[in-house]
Amino acid sequence: MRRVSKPLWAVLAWTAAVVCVGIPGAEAGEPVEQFLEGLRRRGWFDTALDYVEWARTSPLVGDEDKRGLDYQAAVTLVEGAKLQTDPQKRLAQLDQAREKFAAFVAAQPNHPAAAAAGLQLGNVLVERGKTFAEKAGRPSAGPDKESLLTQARELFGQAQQVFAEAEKKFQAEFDAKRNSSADKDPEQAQERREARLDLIQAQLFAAQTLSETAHTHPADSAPFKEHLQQAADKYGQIYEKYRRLLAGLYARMWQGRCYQELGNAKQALAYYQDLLAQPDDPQEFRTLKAKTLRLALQCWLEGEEPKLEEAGRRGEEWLRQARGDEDRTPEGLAIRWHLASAYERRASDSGVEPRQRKRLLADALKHTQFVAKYTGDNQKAAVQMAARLRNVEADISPTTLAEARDRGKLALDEYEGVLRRIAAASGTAEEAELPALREQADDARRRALDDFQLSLALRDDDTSQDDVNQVRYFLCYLFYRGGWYYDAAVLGQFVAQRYPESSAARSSAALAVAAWVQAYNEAPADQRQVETAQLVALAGQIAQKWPGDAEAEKAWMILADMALRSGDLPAAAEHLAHIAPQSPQRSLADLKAGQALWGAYLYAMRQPSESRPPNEKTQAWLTNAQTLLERGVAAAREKLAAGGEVDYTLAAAELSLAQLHLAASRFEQAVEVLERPGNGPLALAAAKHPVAQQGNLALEAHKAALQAYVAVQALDKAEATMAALDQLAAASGEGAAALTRIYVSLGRELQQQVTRLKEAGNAEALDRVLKSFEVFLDKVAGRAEGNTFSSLNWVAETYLGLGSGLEGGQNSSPQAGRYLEKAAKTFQTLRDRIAKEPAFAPQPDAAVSVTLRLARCERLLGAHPQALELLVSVLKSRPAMLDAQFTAAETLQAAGKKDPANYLKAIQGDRLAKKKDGATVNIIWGWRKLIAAVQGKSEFRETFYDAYHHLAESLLEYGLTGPAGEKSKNLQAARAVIEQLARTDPALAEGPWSARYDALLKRIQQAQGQAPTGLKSMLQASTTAAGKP
Amino acid sequence: MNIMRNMLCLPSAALLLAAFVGTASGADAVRTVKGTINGAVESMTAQEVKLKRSDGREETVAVNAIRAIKYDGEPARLEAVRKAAAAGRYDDCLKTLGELDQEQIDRAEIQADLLYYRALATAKLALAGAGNLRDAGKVVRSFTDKHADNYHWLAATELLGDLFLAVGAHEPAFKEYDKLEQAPWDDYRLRAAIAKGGVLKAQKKYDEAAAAYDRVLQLTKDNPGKDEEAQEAIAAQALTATLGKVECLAEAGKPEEAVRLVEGVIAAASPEDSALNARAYNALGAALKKAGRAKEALLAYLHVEVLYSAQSQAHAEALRNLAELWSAANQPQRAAQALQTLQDRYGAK
Repeated sequence: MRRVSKPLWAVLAWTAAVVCVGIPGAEAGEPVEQFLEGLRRRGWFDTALDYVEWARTSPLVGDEDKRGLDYQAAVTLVEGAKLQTDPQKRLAQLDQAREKFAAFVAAQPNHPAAAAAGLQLGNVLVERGKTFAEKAGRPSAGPDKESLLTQARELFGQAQQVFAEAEKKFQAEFDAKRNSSADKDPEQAQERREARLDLIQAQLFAAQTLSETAHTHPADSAPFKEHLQQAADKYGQIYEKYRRLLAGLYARMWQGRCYQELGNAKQALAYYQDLLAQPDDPQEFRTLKAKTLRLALQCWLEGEEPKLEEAGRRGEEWLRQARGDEDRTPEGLAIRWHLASAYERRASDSGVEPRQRKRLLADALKHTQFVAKYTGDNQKAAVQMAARLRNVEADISPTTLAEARDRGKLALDEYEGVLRRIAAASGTAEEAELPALREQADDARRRALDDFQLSLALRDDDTSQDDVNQVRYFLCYLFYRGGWYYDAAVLGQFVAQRYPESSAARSSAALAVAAWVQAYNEAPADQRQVETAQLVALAGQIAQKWPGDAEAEKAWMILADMALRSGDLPAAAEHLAHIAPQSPQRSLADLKAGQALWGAYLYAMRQPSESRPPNEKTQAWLTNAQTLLERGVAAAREKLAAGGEVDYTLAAAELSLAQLHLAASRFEQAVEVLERPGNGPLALAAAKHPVAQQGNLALEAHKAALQAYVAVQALDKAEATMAALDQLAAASGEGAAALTRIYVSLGRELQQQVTRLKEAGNAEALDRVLKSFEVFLDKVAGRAEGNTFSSLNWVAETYLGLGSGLEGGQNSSPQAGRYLEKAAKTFQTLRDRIAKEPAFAPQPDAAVSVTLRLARCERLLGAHPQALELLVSVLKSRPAMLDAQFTAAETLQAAGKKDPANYLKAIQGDRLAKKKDGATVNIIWGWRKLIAAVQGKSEFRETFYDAYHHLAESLLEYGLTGPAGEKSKNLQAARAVIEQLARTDPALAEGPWSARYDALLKRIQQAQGQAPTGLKSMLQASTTAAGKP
Repeated sequence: MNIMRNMLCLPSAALLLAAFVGTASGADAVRTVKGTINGAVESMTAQEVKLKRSDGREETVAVNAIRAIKYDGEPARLEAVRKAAAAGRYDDCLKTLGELDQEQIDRAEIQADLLYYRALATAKLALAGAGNLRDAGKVVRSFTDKHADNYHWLAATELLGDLFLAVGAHEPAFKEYDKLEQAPWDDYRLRAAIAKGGVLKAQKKYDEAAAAYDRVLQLTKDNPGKDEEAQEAIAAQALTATLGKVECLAEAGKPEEAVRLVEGVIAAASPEDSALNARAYNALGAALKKAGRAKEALLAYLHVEVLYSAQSQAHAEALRNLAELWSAANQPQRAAQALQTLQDRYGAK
C-alpha cells in the first residue's frame, strides 16, 4: 500500500490560520505572522528568515510581534527542513530549530506562542525520527537499517511523551478555564479558545506520532497494524469531540487514511465521502476537500474493484471548479495525476471503442503533461508516463486542425516548463540533469513543431482564418526559440502584414521584430542591409497600424541603436524621430537623437569644406541636436528630481549639450551644464560617480571644461582642470603620452571652433575666444614654476590650433602669424629644454614630434627653408618616417607658390644624399614615392588618398604656374592621375574623398578649357568606352 | 467536440437514411464554387454533370464550377482522401486509399474517383521528386483512358501534360494541353495557354514563352469575365501568366524587372492561394538569386518552406534552393536540414 505523506507541519499551518482568523481586532500594522506564513507556503524559507531579521529592528513591527520572532524563525527552520533533501543537513537544521524553540520557551514562558513552541519541540523530535526512518528506507542503509529504525522509534517515543504530557497539561488548563466565567469576559473567552487549540494540537500530534511509529514496522506486520489502529482510534476520538471544528474534520480525514493504509478502503471512503459533502467555503474547507479527494482517488484506483469512471468523474468535476492556481497546488497536481492514471487504465480495457480509447489517451496525456511541468511528488513519473503515452498516441493522429493544435500546445507547454527547469537548474543539484533536460526540451519542441505544422495541413473550408494565424504564431514562436530567426521573421512578418486584424497579428509582429534583431546580430557586420531594411519596413508598418504601440517604438529604438553602432548617426536620429511625443521612451529618444545629430555635425565639420554635406543640412543637424538635447535633458532632469537615478545616457547627453553650447560660443551656459550639481558631467567626475567612470566621460568633461573656463576667464578653474587632466592621464596608465594626445586633440578642436566662427563671420565670438585663450596661454607659458612638457606642449598646440584656424590656408592674418610665432617659439623652447635636459621629455621620441610640429609652424609661417631643414634633420635619422615625409612633401608643395620648381620637387622628391654603397637617393621622397610606400596598406588608406590628391594638385599647380609649354601636358597628367585612381578604386566615387577629388577634377577641367563635369561623369564616360554593361 | 457532435447526430442520421431507402443515389452532393447542390447524379461528361435534385428538378453543372462531388454510398474515408489531396498531403491520400476496401464498392463514379485520387497523388509526389514520373504517368493514363466521361478528365489530362513536361517529352505535353484548350471555358483555355508557355520555357525559348504569356495577359485584359466567379478565375490565370513571364525574364538576364513583376503578383494574390504563392515565391527566389541578392532569395524560398509547403512540387524546389543558399550563407546545419526534409518528404537526393 502506498505510503501517504504526513504533513505534520500542515497542522500548524491550519491552526495558525484558525488563530489568525479567530482573533478579532488583531493588531494593526505590519502583518508579521500572515506575511511569514505566506512566504513559507511558497517555499521561500530563506526570504522568511531574512524578513525575521529585518523585523527585529523595524519600527513598523509591534513589540508583541517582535517577541514572537524567535518562534517564527524556528517554525521556518522546521518547515524548510522538510524540503532539504540531504538528511544530514536536514538534521542540522532541525537541531537549530530545536535550540531556537527551547530558547524561546525559556525566555518567554508567558508568550501566547510558548505552548505551541513546547509542542514544536515534540514536532522536531518527530521530524528527526522521520529522517532516520527515511534513511533506513534507502538502499544505502544496508545493515544499518534496523538500528536507524530503532532510533526513529525512540525519537517517536520521546515525542509521544512530550505530546502526552502536553495534552495532560492543556486539558487541565482548558478545564480550569471552562469552569470560569469566560462567557461574560471576552478576554477569558479568548484564553479558553487558545487553551482548547493547544489541547487539540497536542492530541493531533500524538495521533500523528502513532501513525509515524507504525510506519517504522513492515506493512501488514502486527505492530504496524496495532499502531495504525491506535492512531485511527485517537483521530476518531478527536473527530467525535471536535466534529464542528475544521480540526475535527481533519482528524476524520487522517482517520480515513489510517483505515486506507490498513486495507479497509470501504471504511476510508465512507469517511472521505462525508468530508467531500462539506461546503466549499471558507477556503480552508476547499483545501481540506482537495486533500480528501486526493486520498479518495487513491482508494478508487487501488481497490480490488477499481472505480475508474468514478475517479475520472470526480476528478474532472474538481478541476472544473478549481479556483485560481488550485490546480497547481500539490493536491491539484496529485488529483490530475490520479485522473491521468484512471484514463490510461480505462483506455487499456479491451472493451473500449477505438474512438473513446483515443479520447481517453489524449486526456491522460493532457493531464500527465500538466503534472510533468511542475516540481512535485509525481513529476518524474509523469514525465515517463507522458513519453509512454505519446508513443501510444502517435498511432492515432489528429484529424482536425483543432486536435493537432491542442496536442501541439501541450507539447509547447511541456517545452516551456522544461526550459524553466533548465533556467533554474544552474548551480543547483539539478544541474547534473541538464543534458537530459535539454534533450527533453528538444523533443518537446520538435513534437510541438510537428503538431502545429500538421494542424495547418489539416485546415479545411470551415477553418477560421484566425485559427490558422494563431497556429502560425505558435510556429513562429518555436522557430524563434529554436534560433531559426529568418523562419520566425518570415512567418511573423507574414501574419502581421497580411492579417493585421487577426488576434495573432501584434504578437507575431513583436516576434518578427525580435527575430530580425537576432538575425541582424548574427549576420556579419558588413552583411546586415537586408535585416536593417526589413526591420525598418516592419517598424514602419507596426507604427502605422498600431500608432504608439510599444513594439513599434521598441523597433525604432533598436534600429536607432543599430545605426548608432554602425556610425550612421543621421539615420539613428531619423529612426528616433518616429517615437511618439507622449511615449515614455520619448525623452530617451530625444537624448539619443540629439547626441546622434550632434555627433553627425561634429563629424561633418571635421571634413574639408568640399567634402561636407550642404551647410543647410549641417545647420539643421545642429539646431535639431540642441532642441532634442535640451528637451531630453529637461525631461530626464525632472525624473531625477522626482527621485530617479542618474545614468550614463543622461550624463553623456549633458556633456553633448555642454559641447554644443561651447560650439555656439555660449560659454557660460556650457559651464552651467558641466557644473550642474547632481548630474553635470564635471560634477559627476569630481564626485567620482560610477557613471563618470564609464567610457571617456570624465576626460571629455574636463576637456570641455577647460575650453569653457578659459573662454569665461575663470583661469584658476582652468588651471585646476589642467591639473585634473594630468591626473586622469596618469590614471590611464599611459601618463604623459596620453596627456600629449589629449592636448593635441584639444588644440584641434579649438582650431575647428576658430575655423567655424571665422567661416560663420562671427567676429565677436571669435575675438572673445582668441583673446581669452591668449591671456590664459600666456599665463601658463609664463609660469615660473610648475610647467611640464605636457603643459608647454599644450600651450604650443593651442597656439598652433588658433593660428591654423585663423590661417585657413592663407597666411593672410597678422593675428594668425602672431599665434603661429608663439607656437613656434614654445615648440622651440621645448626642443631646447629637451636638448639640455633629456629627462624633461616624457618619452624618447618627444623631441622628434616637437620638431615636426615646429616644422609645421614654420611652413604655415611661410618659412619653408627653415621648415625643410628641420624635416631633413629628422629624416636623416628616420628616413621612412611617414609623418615627416608627408609634411616635407607638403612643405615643398607650399613652397611651389614662390617657386613653381618646388612643385616638381614635391612630386619627385628632393635633397639628394649618398648612401653607403655610393648610390644617391632623395631624403625627401615626394608624393610619388610616398604613394608607392602606402599603397595597398589598409592602415594607411587615408594617407594614400590624401597623398594622391596632393600629387594631382601639385601637377595642376605646376601646369598653371610652370613653363607655359608644358601646361597642357601637366594638366593632362593631373587629370590622368585622378582618372586612373577612380578607375582602379571604385570606392573613390562613393567614399568620403569623392567631394575633394571631384572639386579638384573640376578645377583641372576648367584649366583645360573644358566643362567642369566632375568625377561621376568621367567615370561613366570611361566605363562606356570600356564597353562594360 | 466532433465525437460529441457525431454521437448526438446518430439518431437523426438513421432516420434520414430510412427516409431515402430506395433511391440509390439520392444523397449525392456536388460542391461548387457557389455552394453545394444535393441530388442524384444522373450522368456526366468531361465538361458537365447532370443531376436530379431531391425536389425533382434537373440541373446541369459545368465542370469548371465543380470543386468535388461526394457520392452517396461512398466510403466515409473517401472524404478524408479529398481533404488530404486538397491540402497537398499526398502521402496521407495514398495511405488512406490503401486502407479502403475497394471490392465493396459497386458504383462506377466512386471507383473512378478512387482511381483519380490515386493518380493525382502519385503524380504530384512524382513531380516533387518522390516517385517515378513514368510510373505515375501510367496511373494517370489509365484514368484518362478509362474515364473520358468523368468530370476529373480535363484535370487528369493537364496532369498528364505536366508529367510529360517533367520528363522532357515536350511534344506529348503540348498535345495534352491542346486537349485542355478544347474546353469551352475561358479560364481553362487560359490555363492551357499558360501550360504551353511552360513547354516553351522548358525548351529555353524564353522570348517565345514570354510572348505566349503576354498573349494570355492580353486575353485576360480583353475578357476579364462575366460574373464574380469568372473574374476571380481569370484574374488568377493572369497572375499565373505573369509568373511565367517573370521566370522568362529572370532567365533572359532581366532579374530586377522579374523581381518587380513578381512582387506585384504576390501583393495581388490572396495570401492563402497556396499554389500561386508557392510558385510566386519560388520565382522571386530565382530572380533574386540571378540578381545576386542571395539573402533575399533565401527569404523568398523560406516563405514556401514555412507557409506553402503543402505544394509539394514547389516545396521540393524551394528546399533544393534553400540547401544551396543556407550553405552559401555559412549555415551548413540548416543546409543539411533542408536536404534531409527533401529526402524524407520527397525521396530526393
